[in-house]
Amino acid sequence: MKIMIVDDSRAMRSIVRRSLRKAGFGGHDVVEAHNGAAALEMVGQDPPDLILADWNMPEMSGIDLLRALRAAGNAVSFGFITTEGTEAMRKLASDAGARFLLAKPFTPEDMAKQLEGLIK
Amino acid sequence: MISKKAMDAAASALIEVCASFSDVELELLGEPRPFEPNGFVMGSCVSLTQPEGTFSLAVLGDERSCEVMTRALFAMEPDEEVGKEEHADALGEIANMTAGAVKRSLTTIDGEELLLGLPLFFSGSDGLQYVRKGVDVITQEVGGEGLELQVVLICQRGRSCEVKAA
Repeated sequence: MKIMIVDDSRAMRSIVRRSLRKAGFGGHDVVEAHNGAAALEMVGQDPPDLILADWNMPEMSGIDLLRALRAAGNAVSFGFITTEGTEAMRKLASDAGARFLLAKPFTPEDMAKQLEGLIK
Repeated sequence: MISKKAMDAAASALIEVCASFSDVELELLGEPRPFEPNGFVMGSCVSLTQPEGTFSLAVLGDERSCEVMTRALFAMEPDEEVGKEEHADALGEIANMTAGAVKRSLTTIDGEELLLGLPLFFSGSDGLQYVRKGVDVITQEVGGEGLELQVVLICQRGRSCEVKAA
C-alpha cells in the first residue's frame, strides 16, 4: 500500500512515520506532503491508498483537502491526525468522508486500532 | 489567578506527550511556583482562550533538554546537527500537543470548550520574565533521565481563568 502523510510539521511527519512502523505497518510505501495543496497535486500524479492528514495547515487545510478529493470523486481512505479532537470536529471530519480522527498525542496502539481494516 | 486544575492538566499533558513520542519518562519536580529563568533557554507558547480570560501555555527547556527532545521527535542520527528550525518545529509540536491535551481535559466554567491558538517559538526567557504588571507566570518543572522541562501558564491576575474537568 502507498500511504501519504500530510502535515506542515516535519517533526510530526517523522512521528507519524515512526508510529506506523511501531504499529506494525512498516512494510508499506510512505510518501509525505507538507500541506494540503501539495498533497492534492501529488494525489493527482501518484494516487495513494490511504492519506493521514493534519487539520490546520497553510495553503490548504486537511479538511479542505478532503473536501476537494471527494468533490473530484476520489474515494481514497482518509484519516485525520490532529491536536484538536472535539466532537464538533469529529463530526465535520466524518461528514466530509474521513474514516477516523486520531487526536495527538497518541500511542502506536491507538494508531493500530484506527488503521485496523484500512491497511492490509 | 491561575487555576490549580489547569496547572495539573498542563503538567500531566506534557508528561504524556513526551512519553508518547520520545520514550522519555518524565515526572513532576516539586510544586508549581512563580517562573524563574534558571537556564531555560527556548520554548514554544500557545494560547488557550475562553470568554472569562485567555491564558497561555508555554513549554520550555534548557539547551540540553531541548536538544534531546528535538532529536527524539525527529529521530535524528547522532551526527546530525540540530538547528533553530528543528527546535522551532519540535518544541512547537510539543507545546501544541500539550495544549491540545489540556483543551480536551478541561472546559470553561460554563462548560464551553477552550479555543487553541497557534504555537509561537521563542528563544530566551525574557518574554516570560519581563511581563506586564498584573500578569502571573507560574511554572511546573518536570524532569527525569537528566532532562528538565517547564510547563508555564501565563494569566492576567484578577481575571478568572477558572476551568473545570471536561
